[in-house]
Amino acid sequence: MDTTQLLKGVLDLAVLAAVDREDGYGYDVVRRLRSAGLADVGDASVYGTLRRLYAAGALTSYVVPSEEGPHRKYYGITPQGRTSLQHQRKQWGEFSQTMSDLLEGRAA
Amino acid sequence: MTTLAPPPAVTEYANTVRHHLSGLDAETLDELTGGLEADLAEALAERAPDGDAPDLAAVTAVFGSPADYAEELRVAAGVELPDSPGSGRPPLRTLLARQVAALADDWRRWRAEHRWADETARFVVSLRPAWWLLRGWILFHLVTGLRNPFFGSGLDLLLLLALVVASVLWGQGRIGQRRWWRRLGMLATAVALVAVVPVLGSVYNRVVLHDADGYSDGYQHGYSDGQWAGGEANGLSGSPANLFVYDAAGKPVEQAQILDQDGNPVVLNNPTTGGSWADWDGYEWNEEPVPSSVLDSGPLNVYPWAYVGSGQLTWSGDGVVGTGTTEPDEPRWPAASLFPIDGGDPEPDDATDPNEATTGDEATDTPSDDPADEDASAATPTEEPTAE
Repeated sequence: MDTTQLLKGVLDLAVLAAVDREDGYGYDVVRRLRSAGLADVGDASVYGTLRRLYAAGALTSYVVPSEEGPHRKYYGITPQGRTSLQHQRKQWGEFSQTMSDLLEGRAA
Repeated sequence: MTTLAPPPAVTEYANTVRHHLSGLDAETLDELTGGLEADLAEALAERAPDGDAPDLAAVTAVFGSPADYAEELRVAAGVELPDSPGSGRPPLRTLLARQVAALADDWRRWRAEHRWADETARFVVSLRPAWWLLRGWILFHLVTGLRNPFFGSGLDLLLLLALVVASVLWGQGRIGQRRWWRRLGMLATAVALVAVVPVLGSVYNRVVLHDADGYSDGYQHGYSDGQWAGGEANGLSGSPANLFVYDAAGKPVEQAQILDQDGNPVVLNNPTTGGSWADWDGYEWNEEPVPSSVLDSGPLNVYPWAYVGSGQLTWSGDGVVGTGTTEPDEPRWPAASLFPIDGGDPEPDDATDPNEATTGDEATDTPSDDPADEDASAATPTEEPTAE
């Protein structure tokens, strides 16, 4: 199974977690996710997810001026985003535990 | 973070991506692609930090086609493209259609929730066949109201039947289902709906007020107002061509018989000869129309008179022989009704003094004392009651 399929379901969670750890701009988040092991994540998907989370109020954004190039738009997490992250973290924990049990024959 | 100006290929790629998203409004587009060049350039720089500026092919190789990139971006962002590419809003027709559909949904839901609304709606729907009949009848009146009253009652009846039958058949869906016929039918229905009240009102006027020509009531009142304002007294020394009698309540009196003080019938004058029509012997070549009661030897003092045009008359060496098959023209009442006389009583038996100067509006108010004046229902004790 292609990991992109798996990723589709959890990209929101991954992006939220990354931004929660540290504010970042588009490619910054991509880089961090990739280096964390999600090699297949697409740039466009991350950028789009960032925008969607921003529109949903889970992220805030601000522009950081730069002397050497274009100003970058940074994303940060909001309290609402943090709450959502907590919730999804818990969900993920339960889900992945269930899946592991199932796969290892522990479930009934 | 050091960033140089992005390579031209990157700019080109980014612009192509923007082009694929051009259906979006400016704000959304900027949110999605605001830092695109910088991000792309950075990503490329990491892959090949010492390499030359990549060309478009290289950029595409890394990121996929601009179209795919735009699509992935859009989908991940949960943004929908509008219906017609290149425009920011759906066309007006779509918007209207959506609104109508939304209203229809609301109505259906409301109907489902309220029992009485549902029952009422069912009842109204069951009346549809009756509406088809009414629609045909109304269209008939609209059509005949406009045309010249020339054909006579036979053709009218056919027309009425045709329209009613057409209306019913179309309502049942048995005829006229193709596009332009459907549109015509819908237009006719809309017109008929709007015309329900006016047509009913006009028919009421005609039936109740004996307005045989079908002149509109408004015209009649306007015309008679004009008369009253500047109305001249036509004594019998003048030559009125017709007399129209109204009772005290202002209602027209058909077939009024008028006598003078001696009990003699009052007969109007023939404008050609200057003498009374009673003396007409049929020999004078009349350019003017002739009263029908003169031709068929009916009583000459029953008003209003119906005239026959001189063109309709048949002459022989001995004078007028006949009227051919033409019906005489219906007299045109100057007013469908008048205002009632002050304190006026509709009872025709009450003796109203014709010499009394009244302040009420009468069509022919004369200042003279001539008792033979044509006032509102002159009632002398020997006369039969007029009007009903």
